Amino acid sequence: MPKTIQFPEHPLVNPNALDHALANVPFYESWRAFDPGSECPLEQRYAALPVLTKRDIRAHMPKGFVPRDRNLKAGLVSGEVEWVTTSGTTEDRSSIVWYQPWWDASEQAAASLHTGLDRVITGRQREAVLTTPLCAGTVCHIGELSLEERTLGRLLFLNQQTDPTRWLPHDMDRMIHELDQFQPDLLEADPAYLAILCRYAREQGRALYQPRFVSLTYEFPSRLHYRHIKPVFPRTPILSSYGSTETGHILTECEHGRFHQNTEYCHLDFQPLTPSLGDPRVGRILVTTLGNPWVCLLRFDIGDLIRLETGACPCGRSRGLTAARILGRTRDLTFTETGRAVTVDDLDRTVGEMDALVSYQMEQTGACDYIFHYVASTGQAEPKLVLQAGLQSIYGPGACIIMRPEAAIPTEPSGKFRLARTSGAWNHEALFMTGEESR
Amino acid sequence: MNSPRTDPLAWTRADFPLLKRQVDGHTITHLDSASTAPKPRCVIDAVTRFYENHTANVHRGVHGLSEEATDLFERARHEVASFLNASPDEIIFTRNTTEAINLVAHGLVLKSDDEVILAPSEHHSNFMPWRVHARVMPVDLDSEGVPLYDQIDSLLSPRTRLATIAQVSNTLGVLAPVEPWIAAAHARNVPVFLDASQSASHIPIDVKALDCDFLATSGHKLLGPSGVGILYGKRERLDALSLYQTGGGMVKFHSDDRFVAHALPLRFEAGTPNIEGVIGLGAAVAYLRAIGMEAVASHSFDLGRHLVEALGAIPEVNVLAGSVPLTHRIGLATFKVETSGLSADAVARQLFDRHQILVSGGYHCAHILHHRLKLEGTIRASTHVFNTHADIDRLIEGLKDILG
Repeated sequence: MPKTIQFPEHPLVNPNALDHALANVPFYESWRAFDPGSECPLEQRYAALPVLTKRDIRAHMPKGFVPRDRNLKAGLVSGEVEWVTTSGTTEDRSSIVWYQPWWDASEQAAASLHTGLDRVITGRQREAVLTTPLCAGTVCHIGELSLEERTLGRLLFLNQQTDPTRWLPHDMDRMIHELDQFQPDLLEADPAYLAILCRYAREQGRALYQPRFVSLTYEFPSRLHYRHIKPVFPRTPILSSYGSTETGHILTECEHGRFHQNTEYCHLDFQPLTPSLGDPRVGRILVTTLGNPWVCLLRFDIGDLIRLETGACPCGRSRGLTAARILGRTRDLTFTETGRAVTVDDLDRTVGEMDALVSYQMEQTGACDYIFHYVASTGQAEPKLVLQAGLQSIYGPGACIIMRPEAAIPTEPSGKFRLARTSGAWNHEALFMTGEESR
Repeated sequence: MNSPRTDPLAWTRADFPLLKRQVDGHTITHLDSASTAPKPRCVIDAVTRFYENHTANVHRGVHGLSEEATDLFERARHEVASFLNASPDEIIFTRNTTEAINLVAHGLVLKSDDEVILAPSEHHSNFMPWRVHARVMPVDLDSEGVPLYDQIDSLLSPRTRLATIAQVSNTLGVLAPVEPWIAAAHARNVPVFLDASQSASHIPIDVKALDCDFLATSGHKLLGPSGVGILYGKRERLDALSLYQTGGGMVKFHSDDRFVAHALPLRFEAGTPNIEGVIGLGAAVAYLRAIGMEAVASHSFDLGRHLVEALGAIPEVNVLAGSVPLTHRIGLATFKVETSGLSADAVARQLFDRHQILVSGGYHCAHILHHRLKLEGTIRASTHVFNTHADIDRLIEGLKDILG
């Protein structure tokens, strides 16, 4: 759980982030040989570099990624930086050096990409957070913290459990009550968690406090989630905000549903899927963080896929990369019987709108073998046949899809949900083309 | 440092498949056996062999496989009894130490004003059951967290129903003065329960020589499977306990108007037991006995000495109970890092992420000890038979790298 610190003066964004990183950050010493040199266009220089992985971060954080002119020990002792652990959404958990002022500045800049949000994200906004508690504290102390312990200045952390499918009515009653009492300007929520709370509130005929904005973040927002969330916030704008503990805020959904790059705080490279696998507008983004004086990430594979927006966005914003959609995690790709990639969003487009479905998870167990786990709504017609037909249309007529009704779909150890998974191991790097676009 | 650098048990490393595990391309260094220990091949094989050749229920079947299963199960009980120098009838198989303690805490039919003397440094498992069933009377701790064991004399009263102590603290790694504790309690006719969860893997235990009334330990720390534990009790003490669980397996005769429970040990083993777990535990205990517990203890003390001395030489590291003589410590040390901004959790995670070293970080189920010492978590490194001095050197180098 990051500490609450008011916005100080943000250090000037280094216009030569790449040169700075290659020259001053120990981990990138071995990358210098890949750099074609400053006479080449910046995009070309970025594209020539390797991809930074979570495994690299695990093995070399903090020393490898802190610039040589920074005294990490002094920073930790003074409290200027903290050592925090990620929840492990895309892989195993890892730890990073956390500099709150940079995070806050990145959040504020990202807010300017949605009209009205920038008036909420001022650094003084009251914010309620609903997500996995895994980012906080030691494992044996998760759970049963008092309201006082969960309130850090202007932040209220609502949840204490790693699996929201196990929330009891009194847990959700408490959250509803605390929202009423705290009256946040912004509710920042994992969409899966918020969907469960909203569904409960509707079943009970309870109204949720209406903040000025609801920001869905932490994981892929399914259409299923929106179906439960939107009716509970009829007058509140709901947007999706994309980023990670390692990278800060990367993309913000504008009022027209496109995702715009937070250009002051990150540089993005886009690597499309190889043509045999899927649409070349679909690919992964590699994030270079800008302006963080303590940690410098170059071309970090954040682990998610996007679909590039090729046209102009009606909002008029044109700086940096625009994504039409966020498509889910790379590791949650499944494959059709002919080997084409199926993103979480592809799957969700087919099954996520179904009223008869509460939650789901597609599991690929072999080249053409699948198990579709699902939780059906009570009082609705059994959705099996409709689901099966929809899934066959995605994976192919020869795909062997077993439909398996479940009492609940459990969370991952990270406290987050996976809408799709594969049992087999595949070469992650072979999924993408190396000729890439850079923003 | 004057630590001898011989590793007479290094040959055992080849018996543990887990030690070959690689993470991020590097072989792990396992220093977390106090949490749960890797399993030697003989244990894995014993469990697998049971599944492949003998799967059947015990004590109730009339076919050959059931008889084989029962034979394997009871051989394991004999093995464990020999390990502790007890009679097989005095060995009850439970799920773990926690269940063994709960069995006794329940069976003594304690009243809320009955008193149980213990140390505040105890693991939750040897604190919570007594707290729930009776009034706990903890001795004090010194400034390093070491219990003031001598206080038992002043705490014994007519209301005292039991005195309990961990033979080795799971957090401090320090041997408790068990014999005088038992003598003091027995002088007032108070029975003594020993928690041997940590000690049983490191030192020879002779329940008859100790004259303890109850003793418990867990299989998974003894190189055996999870989900199986051992309760030893003197026959007369066990016979005096009320039944903990009832059901199949523990009853000899059952009619409309009465039932007759089996004699020891089955009267406390209701339901189908963890058969493969017990058989695996038997193999684990046989493995340790084959090495020889004297050799195991010598090795553990040797590694404990190296661990404490090497950790103590790092300026930013503070070993809990660091002033306790090295002759009173097993191969387990818990420490805090004085560098602000680095929590125990963060250090433990970095040790794994960057150096593939497994240790524990947190409160080690000893919250009261940590609260009294005002510690927000600590790091625990713990050894077993397969560890070597080189493992400890890797830990020290990793720590220096993180703190440097």
